[in-house]
Parts: sequence; structure tokens; C-alpha cells
Amino acid sequence: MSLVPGAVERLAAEFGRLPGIGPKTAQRLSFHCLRAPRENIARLSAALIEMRDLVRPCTRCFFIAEGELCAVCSNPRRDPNLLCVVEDALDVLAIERSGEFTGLYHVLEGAISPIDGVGPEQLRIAELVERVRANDVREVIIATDPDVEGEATAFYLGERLAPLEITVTRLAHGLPAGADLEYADELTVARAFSGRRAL
Amino acid sequence: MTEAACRVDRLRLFAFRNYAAETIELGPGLNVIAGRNAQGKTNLLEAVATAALTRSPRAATAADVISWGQAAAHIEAAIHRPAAPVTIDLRLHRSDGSERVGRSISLDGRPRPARSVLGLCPVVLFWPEDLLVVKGAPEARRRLCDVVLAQLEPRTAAEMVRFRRVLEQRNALLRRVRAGEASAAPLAGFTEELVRAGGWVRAARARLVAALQPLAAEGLDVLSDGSERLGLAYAVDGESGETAATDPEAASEALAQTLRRRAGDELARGATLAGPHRDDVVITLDGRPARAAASQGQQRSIVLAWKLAEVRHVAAATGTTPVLLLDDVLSELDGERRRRLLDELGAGRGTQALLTTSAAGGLDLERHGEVRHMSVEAGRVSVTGETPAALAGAAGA
Ligand SMILES: Nc1ncnc2c1ncn2[C@@H]1O[C@H](COP(=O)(O)OP(=O)(O)OP(=O)(O)O)[C@@H](O)[C@H]1O
Ligand SMILES: [Mg+2]
Ligand SMILES: [Zn+2]
Repeated sequence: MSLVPGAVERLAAEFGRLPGIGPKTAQRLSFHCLRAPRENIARLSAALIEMRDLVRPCTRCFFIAEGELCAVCSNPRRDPNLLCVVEDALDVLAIERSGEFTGLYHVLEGAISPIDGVGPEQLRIAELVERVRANDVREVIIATDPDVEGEATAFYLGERLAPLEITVTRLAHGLPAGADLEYADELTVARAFSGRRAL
Repeated sequence: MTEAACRVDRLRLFAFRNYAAETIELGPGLNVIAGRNAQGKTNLLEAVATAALTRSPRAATAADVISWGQAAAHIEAAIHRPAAPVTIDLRLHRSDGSERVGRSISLDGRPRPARSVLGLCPVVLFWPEDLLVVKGAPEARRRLCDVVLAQLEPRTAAEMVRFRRVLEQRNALLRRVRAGEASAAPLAGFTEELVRAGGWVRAARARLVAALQPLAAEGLDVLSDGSERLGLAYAVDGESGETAATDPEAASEALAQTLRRRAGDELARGATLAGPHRDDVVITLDGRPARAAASQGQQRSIVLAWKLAEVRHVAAATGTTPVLLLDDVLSELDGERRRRLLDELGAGRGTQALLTTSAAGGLDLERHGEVRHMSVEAGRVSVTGETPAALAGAAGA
């Protein structure tokens, strides 16, 4: 028989599903919630639900947005002729921190990974091609991760975009091999932008 | 040897295989580890190898080394190095519920990536399975190369990991294409990656085999009474007899060409048909394939000659004599051969060696400098004797 009531265990199990949270931390978090004032907990659960209901992918770039368009796409000062392609929304934040990029983004929502059954059709690649074709895009910078999947995806995008006769560049790898854009520091990301190469 | 030696001074094990919690102080010369079967002799050598290589060279999965019923294994190895001493700390922990094992490594208490450990304390392994390598599957011969390269060339260690990953992805894609579940369009990108990493690994192995060849031939002359000339050659795609380029770019280009030629076969078979995962080291005696012709004794001599070459090559390449881990290998040799091998290895004379034996009387090893005798019983180690340099000349113990 378990020592703690089922409700505590169920909450700990939910916390345990979150990334980077082991069983001990999950248990500590649930005990914390147990002792916290009820209104704090109400705020927390309301915030969780609100975020899930309000936040959706931007209809243009698939970064996160509260309305139709994300903050980047609705900023008139961004250069619409320059697109940076990334694997996920967190990569956008990493690049924004470097302050080096003034164009718009396109979030693929993953990378090609046959092991996981992820092919080009499961990613926002058709949308990218359509976006480049329909708008006056001058350059596409591919900033997928430098791991095997990210590189293979970059290669594939290069092939798909080649007929469109625009400049396609790959973010230079000042990034250590296998590193994730999300974890790179600002300076490294900034350098990678200035050193991008043609694909 | 003029290189400075590297050695393991102290080993602390927690929940590693059948070691619950044990501290082992090792001598700077020969360490003879005796004990009945299944007491933990091999496990002890495995622990040293795991700390030095960041993964066990013999476990099928990382979880195997964690004591049954325990959540985490921990190895702490205090390394004496010419540059500065360092303590390697390696923990392997089961993520709950799954068989996945997380690994964390620190050096002198600071968390570091695995690659910063490789080569810190080079080791050369003499495993009993190695004695079967001459007639065994190519995979075993490739692994012999990879264990050396991982310690000598950090870039190659990284490319090997990358190669394994891209091979897995590319094979998955080929299988799906064959089954009609996916389009072949993304294949070119994975081929590009495969060729880059694969060419690097091939060239590195080809350079290694070329460097080992003269050393091993020399070693065989010393170790065996025969007069056969030992040949080693890295052959791409097994039987084809083609030798690999030692330059990564040339090797990548050659691999790319082969893959272009075999594109149709690959789609039909649903697998990657060329690359370092299909290569071999061809071993010859007087030009004849040893795989077909070598006797039992010759096979053993060849492997020992290879190991001798490995020790010399690692020493020359790193400027550090490696720690030798000889598991049960010496007991198979007669006294004279055993002495010759240890002499050639410099074992006990500036080179630390850990030797295991299940022979009741231990090993007869006088004349080999400092010898520390230990015995292992059910995961507990005790020092049973010490032969100081004394027996080599000066005062008695
Ligand atoms: N993960 C593990 N947890 C606990 N015990 C283990 C684990 N893996 C192996 N063992 C035990 O370790 C023992 C084997 O140790 P080891 O292979 O070092 O033996 P050995 O002393 O080298 O014997 P031999 O002389 O037969 O080679 C076995 O009894 C085995 O049950
Ligand atoms: Mg053993
Ligand atoms: Zn947007």
C-alpha cells in the first residue's frame, strides 16, 4: 500500500512527465503545491489552461502567437524578404537573444527523422515553399540544428528551394558539433549568422 | 620507453556489477588479481576501462554494469598522469521505469562532457575474447580499431557516434522506402551525412592499421618462434580487397561513388550497403589470409602482437604509456612466453598492468619489478602481498 494519498501521487506523476523532472523533484513539487495557498494553485492551473487555449502556432511562420500572427510577423520593421528556418519555437528565442537577425522566421516543427517516422510531409516544408514562392523572399537562411537530422533536413530544403532561384544559406557552425541552437550562447549564434554559407 | 607513464592509483566502486562499495589501491607496477571464478576479477578491469573510455567495452547496454536492483553505478578513478593528477568520476543512472541509462561525468569534481575524458588515461585491453578475433567476425576486428581510435582522436570518437546515428536513420529510411511508406526524397541528405562521417572513420581506421602493421610484424617476430611475416590491411567492404584511402576527403569521395553505384541495390534491400560498418581488417601470414590458415597458437601470437603494437602506438601517439588490462590472458601462456610478453610490454617497469588469473597459485612473476598481489572474493578485494623492486636486486621484503 502506498504511503501518500492517490491525489498526491497523480500530481507527482504529471510533474514527472515534464522534461528534466525526475521522480524526486516531482514529489517535492507536489508537496509544495499541497502546502501553497489555494489561490496560488488556482492561478497556476488557470495559467496553464489559459496558455493552452490562447496560444497557437502563428498562421504564417508557426512560431507561437496569441492571435493570428506572432509578434515577429506583426512587427512592420522586420524585413519580410529574409527568412530564417528553424526546427522549433525555442530556436526563435535563441536567435532573437543574439539580436543579429532582422528578418522573419519559419518554424518547421521538427526535423526529418525516419526512425521516428518523420518525413518532409510531417513538417511545415510545403508551407515554407509556398511562402517563398508567393512572397518576395530574397534569402532563406537554414538554421536547423547541426546534428544528423538537422543537416539532412537542411540538405533536403536546399534541394526543394533550388528551383525558386533565391539565395539559400546555411547557418555557419561556430556551433559545436551536435550542439542545439537552443543552448548556444548569444555570441556564438551572432557569429554563426555573420558566417553563413551558400547551400 | 621514454614516455611518461599514466596509472590508476585508486579506484572506488559503488554498485558497479558485483561491487557494492569498495576501494582498491593499485600498485604502480604489476597488479595480479587472483580469485576463483565469478568473484569480480573481470568486473574490476572493466571498471577501469569504463572510467577511461566513458563506457564499458564489454557490456551490451550501459545498464548491464549497474548492480542488480540498484539505481546507479558510480566509479571514481584517481589517475596519476605526467601532466597533473586527475580524478575521473563517472555515474550511470537508470532513468526511472525505463532501461535508458543516463551518464554523468566529472573531472576533479567539475561536470565535463565525455569527450574530455577520452585519452586522459589511455588503456590497452587484452580480453580473452580478443584471442578469437583472427577467425571471428569482421565486427570484432573493427571494434579493436575503434577502441584505440576513440582514445587517440577526439574528432574520430565524435564521428563514430555520428556515423552510428546517421546509419540508423538512413537504414530506417531505406526500409520505409522499400515498404512504400516514405518517399526517397530525403535520402540524399542522409547519404551526404553518411559519406562525411563514414569517410572520416574509414580514413582514421586505415591510418591506424597502417601504423600498427610494422609494429605488429615486429611484435610477432619477438613473440613467436616462427618466421612468418605478419600483414595487416584495412579493407573496405570486406572481401573486395580494396584498401581505403587514409585521407578523409578521398575516403568520403570513394564511399560516395560506391553508394551511387549501389543505389538500386540499396533500395531493393532496404539497407546501407557500403561504409565503415562493412569493412574489415585483413590479417595475413606470409601473404596468406590468417583467417583461413592460422593455427590456434599462431592466432594467439597474432593477437598478442597486435596488442603489443597497440601499446607502442598509443605510447608514441600520446607520449603516455597506457595502462594495460590483461584479463586471463597470461594463464594461457607458458612461463617463457609470458615473461617475453611482459618484458616487451614493459609491464611492471614503468608501465602499470592489471592482470587477472583464476589459477590457484597465482602467476609466477618474479623478475617483473613491483608486483602487488590481490585477491577478489564476491566483490571484495584484499591485498595479499607485495613484492617490492627488492626481488629484482636489493633488500628482501
Ligand atoms: N549488474 C550486476 N550486478 C550484480 N552482479 C553482477 C552484475 N553483472 C555481473 N555480476 C556478477 O559478477 C560476477 C562475475 O564477475 P566477473 O566476470 O568479474 O568474474 P571473474 O572473477 O572474472 O570470473 P572468471 O574467472 O570466471 O572470469 C558474476 O557472479 C555475476 O553474477
Ligand atoms: Mg573473468
Ligand atoms: Zn509568425
